[in-house]
Amino acid sequence: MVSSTSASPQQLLHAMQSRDQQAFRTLWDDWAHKVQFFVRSKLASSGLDAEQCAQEVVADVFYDLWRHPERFDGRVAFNTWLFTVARNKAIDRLRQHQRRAVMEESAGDEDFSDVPDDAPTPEVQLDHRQQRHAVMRCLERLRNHLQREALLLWAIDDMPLAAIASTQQCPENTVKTRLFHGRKNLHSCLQQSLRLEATTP
Amino acid sequence: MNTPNASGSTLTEDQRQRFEQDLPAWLAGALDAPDAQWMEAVQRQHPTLQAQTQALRQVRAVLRDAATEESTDAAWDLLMQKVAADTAAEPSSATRPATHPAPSPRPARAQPPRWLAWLWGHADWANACAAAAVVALVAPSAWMAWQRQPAPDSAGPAWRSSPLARLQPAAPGEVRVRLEVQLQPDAPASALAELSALAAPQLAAIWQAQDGHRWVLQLTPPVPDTAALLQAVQAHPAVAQARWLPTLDAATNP
Repeated sequence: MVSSTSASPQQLLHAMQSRDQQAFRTLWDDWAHKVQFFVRSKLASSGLDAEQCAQEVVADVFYDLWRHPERFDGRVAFNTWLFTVARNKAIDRLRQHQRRAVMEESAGDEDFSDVPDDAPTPEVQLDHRQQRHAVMRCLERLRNHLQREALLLWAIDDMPLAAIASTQQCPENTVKTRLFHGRKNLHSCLQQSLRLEATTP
Repeated sequence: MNTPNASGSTLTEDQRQRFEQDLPAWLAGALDAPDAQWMEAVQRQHPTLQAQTQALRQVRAVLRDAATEESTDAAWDLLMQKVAADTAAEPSSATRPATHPAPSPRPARAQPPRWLAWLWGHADWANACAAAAVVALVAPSAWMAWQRQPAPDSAGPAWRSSPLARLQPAAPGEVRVRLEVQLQPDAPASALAELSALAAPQLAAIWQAQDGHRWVLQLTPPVPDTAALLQAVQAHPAVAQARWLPTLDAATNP
């Protein structure tokens, strides 16, 4: 049995090939919440029940992992591979509901509305609860789901831009652009939230 | 590019763009050392960039916190149902865990039937099975209903009153010749077939029953030697009498 506290994903997967249940549970504890949050946020505003779909996707991903841990061959980082698998399953569900085309139509990278950079940063002026609520709401309101996806992959697990590009199947410069516009749009939305907070009695 | 060019008091557009593009990678610790040093230097020179960095750090922290606090209990239950169904379906498989793969403290749920659990994990097959079940139920019913339904043309009085020539129309412009044959009262049933063969096997022959052992043999196209055919038919032992009837033109006498 693998020592679960310091084992790498590769070690855990290797142990799972010998049906090591503790290794499987450790892998779940390390990654399932990130994958589920990623999928749930990705599917937000898609018209699906994002929470239920995210639960089904993460269960599906780890079910496949349990049955075939050898499918991860180490050619890419584990997080890149795992999020790519989860992303593909999420997209499959979107396709099943025939909503992907609608989302792609609104997925241009041009919805950047510039915000002066010397403006006061609203985030620091919100308390933690308000801040989380505002960030999550603004993230869901990003019209471009690919910007949202890139931001999530970057934020959740410090995924390098090259890995995000691999997951999103696009050039690295496209990821830079998505992150840039995604941040700007998020910032713009957060500023609006700040104004609303300030004007709300 | 390694030397920070941020010593001036004004931030150029190129510097701003470079900072913006590299900020996520810098925060992720993924920049090369020279580029990382440039990022640090330019922020020291321009406090607004520091604020921007701080804002993005906070967004990242919020998202990480939210991800960390994401409850996966329901997903774990779903996973356990899949594994349990797998275990039940493959009791001797090498992929079967000895027990459930985790000591989950959650109360055990009633397990769905094996086939339902399998379909649960194979949505495509579930859809295909549903479609096949519909076809299996509907197709025989539709077939039986179709079989029982009378043909719309077979019951109408128009059919009963139509002359035989109309029910068996020839192609437009075809000329039909008709030979009326009076059979002997004791003529065998095979006599008609023998007479058809006599008339010429390559012709289309239609027998029309008349009263009093009389038959009309309709031939298309006309036989080249009508006299020889008439003679042959009259010589047949089953034939009492035979004669040619007036020629029918299908276009004018349907």
